[in-house]
Amino acid sequence: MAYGRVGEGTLKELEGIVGSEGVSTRPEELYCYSRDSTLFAFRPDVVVRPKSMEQVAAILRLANRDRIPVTPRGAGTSAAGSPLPVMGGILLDMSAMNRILSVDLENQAVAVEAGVVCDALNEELKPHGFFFPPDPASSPACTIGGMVNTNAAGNRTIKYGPTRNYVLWLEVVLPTGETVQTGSKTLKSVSDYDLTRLMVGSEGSLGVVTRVGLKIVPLPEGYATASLVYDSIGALARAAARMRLAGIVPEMLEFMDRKTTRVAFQYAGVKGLPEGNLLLVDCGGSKEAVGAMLKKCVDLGEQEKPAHVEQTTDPAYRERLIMARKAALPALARLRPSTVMEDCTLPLSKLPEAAAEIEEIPGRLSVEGLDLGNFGHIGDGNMHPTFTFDERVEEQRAAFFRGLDILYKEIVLPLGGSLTGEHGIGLIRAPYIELEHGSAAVELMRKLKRLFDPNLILNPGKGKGGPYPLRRG
Amino acid sequence: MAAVNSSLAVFREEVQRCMRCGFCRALCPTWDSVGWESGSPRGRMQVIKALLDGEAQANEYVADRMYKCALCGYCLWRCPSGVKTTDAIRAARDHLVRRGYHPRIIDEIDGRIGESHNLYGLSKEDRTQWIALTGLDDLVKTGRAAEILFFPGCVTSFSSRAMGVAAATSQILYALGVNWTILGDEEWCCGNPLLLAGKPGTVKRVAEHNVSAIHRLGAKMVVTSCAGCYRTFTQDYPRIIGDLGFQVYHVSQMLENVLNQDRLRFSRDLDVTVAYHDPCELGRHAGVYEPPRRILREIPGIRLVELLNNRFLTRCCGGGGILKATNPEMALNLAQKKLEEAHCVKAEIIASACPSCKLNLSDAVAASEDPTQMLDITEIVAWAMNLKIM
Repeated sequence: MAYGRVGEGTLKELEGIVGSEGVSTRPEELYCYSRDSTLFAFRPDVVVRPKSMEQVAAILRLANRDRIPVTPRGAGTSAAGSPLPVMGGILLDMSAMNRILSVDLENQAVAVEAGVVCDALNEELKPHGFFFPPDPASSPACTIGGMVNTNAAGNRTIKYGPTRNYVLWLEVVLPTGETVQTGSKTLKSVSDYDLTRLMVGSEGSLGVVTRVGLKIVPLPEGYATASLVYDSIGALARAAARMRLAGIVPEMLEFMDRKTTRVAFQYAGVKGLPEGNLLLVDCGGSKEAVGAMLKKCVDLGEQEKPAHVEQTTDPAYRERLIMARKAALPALARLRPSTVMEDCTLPLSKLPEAAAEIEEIPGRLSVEGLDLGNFGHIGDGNMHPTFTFDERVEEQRAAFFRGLDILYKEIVLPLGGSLTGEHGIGLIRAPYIELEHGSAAVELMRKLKRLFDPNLILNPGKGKGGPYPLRRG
Repeated sequence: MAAVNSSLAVFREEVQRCMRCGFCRALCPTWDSVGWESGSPRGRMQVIKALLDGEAQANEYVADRMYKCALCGYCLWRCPSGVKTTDAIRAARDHLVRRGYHPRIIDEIDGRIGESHNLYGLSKEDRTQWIALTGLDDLVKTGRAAEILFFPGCVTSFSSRAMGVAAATSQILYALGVNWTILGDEEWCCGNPLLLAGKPGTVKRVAEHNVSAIHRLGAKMVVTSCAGCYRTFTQDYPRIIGDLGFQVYHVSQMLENVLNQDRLRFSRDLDVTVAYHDPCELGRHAGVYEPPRRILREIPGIRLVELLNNRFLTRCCGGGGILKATNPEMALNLAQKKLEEAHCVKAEIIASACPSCKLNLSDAVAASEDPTQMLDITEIVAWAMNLKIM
């Protein structure tokens, strides 16, 4: 199937929909929008910045009529290649739809446009004593629409779960231009096929999310935080498992390996901790409870003989530790010119084994210049092994792709893990989806994709619902 | 691959290291206004990469993006990958200037500084007009040997809306009884605007002139009330001409030292709520955050409140990066957002420690008939010391 081209007529129509100020074919913009935080680069033919659902619907009707690919994008912070316009066409930059529409404290709900930034929403909610808990490291930049499309999770998942748990309803424009509202404004509803949850994590392949209704929850009264430093990553993983098995549910149970901790602390200005693998435990709740909860965590962690333990209730220091953890990925970019993060999840019981095997990948590849840092949400079994190398050196680039094969084919999937916990399949993990889910499930996903998007115009070429025979127009 | 001048080429590895995490977008004041990806710090790094890789050429569009930046340094501070964003943008401006794709106002500024040795192209005699405001005409001695040299800088010296800063600083120095002087018409623009504009060619000559003139007076300490001059003297001059042979203080640092020696006496209770706005070139660029706050806290009757985004998270007021010269509307818009921040904490006065901040925020106050007052920290100190500014 060949896609249609973006011609002069298309551009005129797009300008008619969003105004000339919302359409760009400038080569500089096309270059900027051709990347996310992966290695891949695909240029759109045009970037369009809609400001309303009606404009999005009109764009999709036009694109569907002319079979022009459309790729939605939030802040472009994806670590999977999901917002990259593989087949060119229209890049739909949703960041201009950034209004917080309502804050309903009585019903513990907010309504936002898809382009609202996660941290901006929480800044708005903070004075009211509420927050939207999913906390991806990219929260300073990522949009709610992007979070919905990837089912983003982050540091607080162990206690609060991912974005999916907070989406009450969605306004979605289908690839054919119709608009649907999924879900309900009530906290419970089972009156549909759960289209909301089908959309959550669909990586922009089934529809364009324009508005989101979210549950919000009260902020904890206080926090207590501990840093436990271990010599071995295995001991760290076992310590985390002890805490989980004891039934303690902290706000965060996060880890960074030795290399990552070094650069992340350098960035955040955290000093005084010895070098090693860091387990960060953050407990939240009533002021009376958090101290006791943290003590229990530390007692359990000490059974794995950490080299150092430090506890704090100082909000500024806690912020700094969290900032370091959130900066883990980009801080690793200090080491080498290219940094690519993975997103595997594992059964909790397999974490120590997996962490140790992942640590050995660079040694197995044995290519000068390629290394790996590891960090992530050890409390929910989600690790982010991150390759650091130089993509411009062919030997290193090839080794990186071999490293992916080792990670998924020899470690994650044999141990019963999953390819991605919160970033999505996108482009980078597309070659492995059938290995995890089997051909029948993949075929079912493709049929589902066609049901929503008969002309396959929406975010084509990605793992979910694809890939399929494609030809650029 | 396109030929690029070496000042930009040295940033190839810097921009390669940008892994597009987007942390820099959060509080970038200018990206807010542009909206397109190329108007974000991350986008600017990508555009520079495109220039270096021959994927884009110097043109008006690229210039628009590079000059719609206040060089406030939020992205520099925020970047976990350690990309030297502001240096890269300055080099990109240099690249654009060499190819003639820069705002024309930059040529004018370059000409004024080259010929008249000040930002405004005014005569050198006008540089000391502010002395009339001090009521100390006979006491402010220019060009005499002294231990301390006060370097007001161009904005403070020539702009009628900022002259109060020079007057207040002089009054304070006089009240402290220190041995001080000014260069007077021997003072040249420090060169900061040219460094920001991407036209650094004449800055070495300017630096050599100013430093020689200061040496001739035997000053051991230079005090400036301008955050831009402070940054230039402490960071750029040593890089360009080596050790200066004297110490450089921002006036807030000097006043903190005086405070520590218990020599700063306040005689008025001001009864006012003040929010301190960190000038980018003093705060994020030079790490001077606490001295101005310390001084304000010591003044009787001042209720010091913090803006939501403060210290290294400060949102630029739009007065920096020569944005006011190249994109005045955007600069004013940013200042108005700053006023909104001040309203949120119910500040009656926004205090700053830079004449460019004072100028731009004063313009926003005037444009919106805002009741908030904009004062430099020196003006507040002089007020609390009951010193008379004419």
